Amino acid sequence: MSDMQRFKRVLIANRGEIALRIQRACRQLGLETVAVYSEADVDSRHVREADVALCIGPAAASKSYLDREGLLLAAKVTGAGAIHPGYGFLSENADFADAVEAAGLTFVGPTGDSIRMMGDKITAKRAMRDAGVPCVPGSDGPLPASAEDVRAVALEVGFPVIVKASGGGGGRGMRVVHTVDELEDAVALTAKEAQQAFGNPTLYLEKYMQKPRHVEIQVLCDTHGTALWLGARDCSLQRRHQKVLEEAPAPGIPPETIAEIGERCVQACRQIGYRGAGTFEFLYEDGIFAFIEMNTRVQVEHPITEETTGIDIVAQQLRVAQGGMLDVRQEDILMQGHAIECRLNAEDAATFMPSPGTVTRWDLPGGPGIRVDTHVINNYTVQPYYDSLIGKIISYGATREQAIARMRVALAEMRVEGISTNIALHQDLLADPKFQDGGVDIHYLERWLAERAPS
Amino acid sequence: MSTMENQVPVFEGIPSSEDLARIADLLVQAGLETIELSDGMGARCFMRVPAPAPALVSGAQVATAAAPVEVPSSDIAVKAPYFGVLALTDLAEIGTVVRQGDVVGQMRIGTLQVPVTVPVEGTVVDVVGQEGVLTGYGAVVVRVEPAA
Repeated sequence: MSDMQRFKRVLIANRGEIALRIQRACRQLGLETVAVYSEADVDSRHVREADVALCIGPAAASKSYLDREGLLLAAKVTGAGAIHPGYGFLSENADFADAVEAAGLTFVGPTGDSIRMMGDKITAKRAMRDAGVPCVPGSDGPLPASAEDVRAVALEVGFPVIVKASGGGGGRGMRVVHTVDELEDAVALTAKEAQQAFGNPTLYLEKYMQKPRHVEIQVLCDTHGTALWLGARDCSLQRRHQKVLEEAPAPGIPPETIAEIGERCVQACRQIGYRGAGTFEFLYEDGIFAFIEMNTRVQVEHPITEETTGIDIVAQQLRVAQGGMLDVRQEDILMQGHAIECRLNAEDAATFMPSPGTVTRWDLPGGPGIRVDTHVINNYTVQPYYDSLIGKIISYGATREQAIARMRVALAEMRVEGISTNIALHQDLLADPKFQDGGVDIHYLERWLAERAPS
Repeated sequence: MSTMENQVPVFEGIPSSEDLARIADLLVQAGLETIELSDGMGARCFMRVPAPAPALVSGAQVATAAAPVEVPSSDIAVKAPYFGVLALTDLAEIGTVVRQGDVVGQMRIGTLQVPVTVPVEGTVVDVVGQEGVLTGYGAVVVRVEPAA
């Protein structure tokens, strides 16, 4: 792979901790970096340390990190041969990926076509089903006309089921049905509502997952036919669809089950010609996996998989983008130990309101099994213009108990002044007996927060 | 609260300023201080209405820029409107009298050229930008002392 270098200089089209993470991977591979930044990020650590740093616009992301034309021009004027989009911003923008390649540059990620296919829920689900990736059991299309046939479908799927309008969305035009007796009335009523609301009475039916967990599979593919799965992550602890704490592996799910799902995921990758890093997200309940979507980029929580597999995912993304071959075989990947990630946010502990400002004290934890990915340094000013993620503490242990114990020590060691953070929330969560048991569902954190609320 | 939920516009990306103003009015009417909106993809929008004072929107947590740096002199910084390789013009010389709209430099990227124009009539007192150097957005190119 050393003889084939498609690019020597990488433009990092992102900011914050992931920009620094990408820069580190580039350095390790002997690649030069271009940090493009908004006026608000002039004092960012990765900007100061980059080989080339270029301010490309004002604080507004639309005029900097989301400015496609500006980013391409910046690559041109700095002589960058590749663009790494990180996560968020333009990372899952198929048109941008196409434009990068059309400009003769390398997009560190999958092709625009792959991104497009996975960005559309219907085509994504169809592709997954074709490849044997499990999806939510359901009617696989419009419900039949006769009540008898509908009943047969529902019984096969198993109650509770959710009846949804094909034309619906945003939580409207759907009804949960718990028993077979309610089915006929529920279908008639939902069809009538769907006709009134969306002008289309077509319905479909799916298994209703009441208390699912969020379990996802990391994959890594090169352009030479190698597709690997790197184990599972459990990201069930979420608030308002934002992940708060993640762990790998997913507690209580047998490794053989994950291996089976992992194999199907990489099979899907081969079928669609996927390249680079990606994540298959599933809901998991009662032993059933149901595909939700695929993220066609590196994820915030990728470090816990790096800790349990020893594979540097960002460096591998760059290797694949160079056209290199993955030098690992599936059978060589050992998923060992347990890793936890706590996302540190600059936000009010009680209201979750963002808490921008200058960090006047920033003492990081350390010791065996502790990793901190952050762009924040002492006297750094957390900007109000972007998301409130200021870093991630990752703990690793031989067992889940050890990983939890190390994380609790790390959180207790961490000292932050000048801004509010969610460190105390993480401490309380790690002390929670249900969390310690493992395997809580995606609604658990919101329920737990509601119970803690003062009134 | 339930009545308010029905009135708040559906959150699909950052609301328009009209929607923000409407939500702020609803907050005040309901006697609430803060609201958090979120969508199915994890995007969030916070609003806080100043505690006792009614009416005005405090904005969706978009704070003002950093405090302006105090400049003792009265001259004006003429900044690069775009990034690129700076090509100075003949007007970018200390002592040159310039008029509003005069071009003191070009930001070049390949064949693309974006002019650096002077916002006021005056005299060039300093040339900060360097010829042929890759220059970022917002970098000072020249300083102009406005005509009295």
